[in-house]
Amino acid sequence: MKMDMPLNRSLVLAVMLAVLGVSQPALAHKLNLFAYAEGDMVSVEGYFADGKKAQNSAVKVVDSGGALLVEGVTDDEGMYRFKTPQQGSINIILNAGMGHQSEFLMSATELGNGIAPRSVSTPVVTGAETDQAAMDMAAAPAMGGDVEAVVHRAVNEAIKPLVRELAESRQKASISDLVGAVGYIFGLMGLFAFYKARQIGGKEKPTEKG
Amino acid sequence: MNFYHKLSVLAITLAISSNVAAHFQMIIPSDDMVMQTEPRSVDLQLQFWHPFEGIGMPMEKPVRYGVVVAGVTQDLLPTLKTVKIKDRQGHPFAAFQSRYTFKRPGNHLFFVEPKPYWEPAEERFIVHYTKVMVNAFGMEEGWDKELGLKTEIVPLTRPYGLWTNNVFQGVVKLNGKPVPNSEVEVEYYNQDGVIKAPADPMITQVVKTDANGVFTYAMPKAGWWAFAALNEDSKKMKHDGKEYPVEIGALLWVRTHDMK
Repeated sequence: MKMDMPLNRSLVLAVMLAVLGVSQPALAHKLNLFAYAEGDMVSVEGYFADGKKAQNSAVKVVDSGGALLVEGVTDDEGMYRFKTPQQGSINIILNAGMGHQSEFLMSATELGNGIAPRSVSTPVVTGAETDQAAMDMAAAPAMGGDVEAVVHRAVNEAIKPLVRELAESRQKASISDLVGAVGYIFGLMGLFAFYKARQIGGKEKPTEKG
Repeated sequence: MNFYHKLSVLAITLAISSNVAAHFQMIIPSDDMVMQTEPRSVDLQLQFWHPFEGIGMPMEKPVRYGVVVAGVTQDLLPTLKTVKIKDRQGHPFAAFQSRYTFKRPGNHLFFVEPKPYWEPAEERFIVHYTKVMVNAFGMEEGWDKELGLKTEIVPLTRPYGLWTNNVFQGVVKLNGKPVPNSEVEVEYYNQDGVIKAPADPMITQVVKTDANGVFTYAMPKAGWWAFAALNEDSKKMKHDGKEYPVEIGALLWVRTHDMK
């Protein structure tokens, strides 16, 4: 028994160390925060790099002057939603405890300022459905404030037939075709030359001897 | 050595040297990791190229082009725009561009299945199933997921956020099964042509997969690197009424960053 004691103690110590060791990697992951405006709501998502959600984490939303606008706690999916404040830019602070804090600055344009996407249904709470909603949103044309992108797209759409025509006409005899053709000519010439060289070689040999 | 001898040597040399370059389907995004403080969009360029030598080939509108986010596939074919880009010799080639705006955090796996490319020099078709992953806002979950392409490199090393000189490992799969002893061609996207190859074998690096279909390569320079595992399809395709083999490639692009 006495002999076993130190072993047991070291076992306990080892288990304790292992437990500590296991919980350590979670701390090593950086806490991330992402927020986006949808309709008149802002969604906040807290997560760690490995995909773990930052659940029951405190969210504080402050204006550019640092005054508190709204605060709350993330749900099981690491999400927290609040009504878009009628403000300029806002700063969102997420605190997941144990020294994990992350901030996210949202500009007035990002908040939408009234030109939020219309055709988007407000996502429901479950992860899968929100993902689908996000995909749908991604597929829909950009509406929210990104004027440059909209113009860019419209212009591209307008000149598309022209570009295509140009591309097609240019492609009819592309350089690679020409290179290919030249390659074939050289190849055939090479074969012919090789054949010819052998013929001459064969003829020359007897004359050299004789 | 007579004239015909010289000519035959010249012709054979030309014929061989035109085959040295390896083909690579490319998808190059303007960024491989988009952070919260950065612009939310990336521009992706798709081209069929010899990336080290900077020699182009024409690309046609692909069969499939999309992005997979959290297991959901989104068709991006409608976002493709035809562009003409010049290769290093100044020849213009058809390529494609697309802009993608990130809505949510997570890994975004962009993939393309090009239209079979007829390569007269090799008398075969080439189809390169090509992937590139862009991380959005630091959510790293699921970088090792298999997409389920006909042939695919499944990464064992996270395919973004790589330092220069890191080792990269992946499994080559064909119809969902690992391919032992498969040849993997590795090439650097020598974008500005600064890197000169002291000899032709330097252009394309070659490694093979082990018994488990795993290959390993350490990337010596910052920039974009392609891994191309090439295998022959069991089905043949017709060109001018004759049947020819189809080279199917599993391609993956990764970017290395200097430690500084």
